[in-house]
Amino acid sequence: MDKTKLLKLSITELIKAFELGQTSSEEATKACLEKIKNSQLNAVVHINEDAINLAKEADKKRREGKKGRLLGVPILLKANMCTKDNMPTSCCSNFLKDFKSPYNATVVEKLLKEGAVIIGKANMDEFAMGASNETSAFAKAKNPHDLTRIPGGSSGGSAAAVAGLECYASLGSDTGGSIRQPSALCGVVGLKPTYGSVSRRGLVAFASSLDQIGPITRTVEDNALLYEIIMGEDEKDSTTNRKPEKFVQNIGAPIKGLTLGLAKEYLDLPADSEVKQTVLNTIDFYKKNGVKVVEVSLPNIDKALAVYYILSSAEAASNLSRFDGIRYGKRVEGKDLIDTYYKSRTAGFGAEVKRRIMLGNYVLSSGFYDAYYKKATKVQQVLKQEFENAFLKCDCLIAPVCPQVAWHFGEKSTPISNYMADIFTVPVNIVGRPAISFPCGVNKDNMPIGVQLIADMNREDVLYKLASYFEKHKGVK
Amino acid sequence: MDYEVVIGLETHIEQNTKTKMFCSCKNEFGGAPNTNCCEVCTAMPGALPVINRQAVYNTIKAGLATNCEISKTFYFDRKGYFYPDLAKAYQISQLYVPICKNGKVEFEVNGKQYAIRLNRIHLEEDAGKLVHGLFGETLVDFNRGGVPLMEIVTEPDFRSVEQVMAYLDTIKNIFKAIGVSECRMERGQLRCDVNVSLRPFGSPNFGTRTEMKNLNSFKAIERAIKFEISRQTKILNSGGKIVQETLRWDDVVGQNYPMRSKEDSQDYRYFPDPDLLPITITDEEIKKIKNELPVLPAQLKSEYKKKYGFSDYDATQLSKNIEISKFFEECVKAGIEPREASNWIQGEISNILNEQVGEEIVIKLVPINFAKLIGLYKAGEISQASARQVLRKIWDSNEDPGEIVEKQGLKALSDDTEIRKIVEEIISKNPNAVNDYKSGNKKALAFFVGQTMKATQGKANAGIVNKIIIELLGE
Amino acid sequence: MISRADVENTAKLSRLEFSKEELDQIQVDMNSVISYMEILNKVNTSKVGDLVREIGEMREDEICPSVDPEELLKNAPKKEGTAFVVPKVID
Repeated sequence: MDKTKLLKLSITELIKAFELGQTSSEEATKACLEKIKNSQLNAVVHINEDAINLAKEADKKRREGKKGRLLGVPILLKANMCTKDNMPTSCCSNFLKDFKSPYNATVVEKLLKEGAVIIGKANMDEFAMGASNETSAFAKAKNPHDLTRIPGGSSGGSAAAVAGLECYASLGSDTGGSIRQPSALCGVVGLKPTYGSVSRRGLVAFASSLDQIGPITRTVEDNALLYEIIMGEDEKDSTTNRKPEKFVQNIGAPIKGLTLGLAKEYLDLPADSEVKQTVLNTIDFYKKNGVKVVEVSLPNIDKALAVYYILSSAEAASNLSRFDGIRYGKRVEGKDLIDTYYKSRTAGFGAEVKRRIMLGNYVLSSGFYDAYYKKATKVQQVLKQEFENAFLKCDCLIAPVCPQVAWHFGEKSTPISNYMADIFTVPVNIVGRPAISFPCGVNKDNMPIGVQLIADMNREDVLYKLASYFEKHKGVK
Repeated sequence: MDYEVVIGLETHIEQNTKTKMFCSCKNEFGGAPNTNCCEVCTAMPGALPVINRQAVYNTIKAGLATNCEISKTFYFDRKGYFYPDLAKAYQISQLYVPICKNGKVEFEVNGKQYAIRLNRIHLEEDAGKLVHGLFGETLVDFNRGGVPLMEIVTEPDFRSVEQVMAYLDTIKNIFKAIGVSECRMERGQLRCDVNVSLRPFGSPNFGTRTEMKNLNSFKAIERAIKFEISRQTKILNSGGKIVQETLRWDDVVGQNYPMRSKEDSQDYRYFPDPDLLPITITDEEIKKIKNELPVLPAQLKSEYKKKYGFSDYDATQLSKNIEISKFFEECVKAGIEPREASNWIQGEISNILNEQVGEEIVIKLVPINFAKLIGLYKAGEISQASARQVLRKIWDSNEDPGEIVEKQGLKALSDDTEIRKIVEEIISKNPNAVNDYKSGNKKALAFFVGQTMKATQGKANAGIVNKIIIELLGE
Repeated sequence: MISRADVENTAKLSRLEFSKEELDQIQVDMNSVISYMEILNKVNTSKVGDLVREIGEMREDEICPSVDPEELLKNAPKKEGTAFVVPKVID
């Protein structure tokens, strides 16, 4: 098959082409690897040396009539997902540069069970802390729509690779927008599942109470397929609580009668006018197609960012304390044990990670715990209640994903200006709800703009219905 | 000046669950380093804890056995500090809502009843072990890392070392009785942190306290506390001030030293572990655990007093230890008269146990064999001395006491004429003792009994010997 | 405002070393983030309880095979047999 045509296929189309004998996993995998090799995107940081062998095996299995919903499909993982293979699980940190996990993440086991070919690991902000990929300890990933711009973050490599046709889908992780925001900035589809739907076992933790793994794909249908495969409870992650469900059936389902909630406070958060206009157009589109639009209220949505940075930093400071240079990772010998801790950690972590650890330990330290950490958990409850009230009136909320399109490298110089980029996405993590980000237009520079739909707990079905309907009937310019 | 001693205890007790607290690795003492480990207990990136239900139930059991309130909903917190035996650099523990709180433990010292308040019992994970290597380096082994550990925290209610020792003995026996731990101190299954302070008698305020960490034998605890009391007394009497610090007891030197590694003031940054959700326990579960509780030593004691008419002392001796009370009950079941069993347990068996090394009580004696032995003794087939001799023979073998008596010719000498002959000989050889006896010295009787026993290698029937001596010497 | 002593204490808790210049910058950064967080004080949370999360499940006390120590130690910067090695610990 023609290589460009082959790489542009959706997963569904690729599997059909496998079945019709028009192409093979080997061919598709080779095409992806070649594309990666010649790419300027820096989207992929670790290549699976076994990928072609695995693809050949998948082809053999298919010939033998063996099944697998992703049999032979080349997929990328974010570099914070553990694999027990030849690839490091580096989190794009110098600390874990050469770290090889002794076990597979649960999502990896699930992908392998369905026959997926994991071809590599994608670039990311170090330990998923960042919104632009600029904190990666490796060469920064770039936006396929404009190489002078960031791909977003932290799953920047995952989104750039999918948009740049370097794989058929990827997994990202989303703590405060890290799947949705790069998906929006790269013009692909990303889902942040309901908290507790996808096992976090083997996902190198950033903020345990907020982290979720989710799929990044080129179509909504591919997204639903991948989500179906990776979700469901895991006895080794006690925060998972959900039986397996089917989602592909929601693709193209009628949306008439669904209710879309508009929260003025949410939509009024600061964003570029082009972004806001595109979201308004999307609302209009749904209105015209039989979706009821109601007003709802989220009075404290402007507090979400502060809640997020307190909780996520506190958890991160604790989660990253295991990186002490004793059992794995960077070790710089000091004059004694304590000095070795200092030197290893100082050499292993980048500036942003250190900033978050400092912030996290500060808000947890004696004398400040009540004022910051505890206060944040209380406001979190207020926000949860507000979302609960909102979902009494609607099936889905709508909001921008990111206040702006992909910016240029180095444009945001202060931590706060970087953190503000998460203002629309973090509330969703704070309240544990699922949200999907999908392309809804472009700006004057032809850079993609995404929109975000947020559903109530465990209602990804609504997201897939609405997003696939838009994708089919409106399309993207 | 004399001071009032104020002591509080934090006792760590390792549970005997099959698996660790937060992963399914074997909970087993020893083994080559890191052989009972997985990604969770060595804190590999991405590994997640999952709560062991049995460990939670065991803790509830411990709480019920020590009169605690049980929290219906509780959760786990992270306690952060860097130390090489703590893989995650935080320990999963409980600060804000422990499983058990507000308990009470009662015990006796010299016949006086005391009650110590428990602040809490919380559940956490044990740390790994550091072993010093040959070349000055330290080796880290996480086999113990993640073993379920209960921390029993008392209020500062102790006023003497004796109270502390009695309390420890009591809780050790309770925890063994309810089956949640073997409490083997030489294996570190029971360890103690002791807080000691002094104050003038009558003072409402506490003095500055010092903490002694990880004391791991009753003897060390006793010595360390005594040392610390005299150290603090000396300082206060010379007008000095006690520094609040953590001390390490050196059992060889017999002194306390400040701990260097813990010198920077600790800020543990506790917060709820986001990897674990809160746990709710239903009334039905608590009821079920309550029903599983065995009769505890204190209840057993009153039971023994009522059922067997034992004195307070006897009942205490037989009930306080699960190994002893179990053996006692088996003896009674095997047909030994309770008072006879009690006498033997507190007599020769207690002697044998005291001779054993280690603090653990191990009784291998088969009750049926023991009952047979007592039967032989009671029937006058063997003397008491022979019975003691046979008891030591069957102590850790499963031999038949009858066969041993037969084989070793221990059968009691009950033949009147034979004993009479021996006694007559002894009397003729000891005219002085005869005079003593006749002049009213009762001790002389014991002398003749002793001599007769010696001559018969202890086999003579004591009753018959007595009878004959009195008869021959005349009243 | 976060004092220099707070920043230095936090660095110690974090086991991170900073140069004087880095500390200056971190203090500025932390102060700007912390002052942004003051927004939370606008929310009255006096009636909000403590627990925010759903109730979880526990696992049964059943043994699963442990991981091969070779695998667990394969990334260790220093090891001896199946033990991790650290600089001498003094207690």
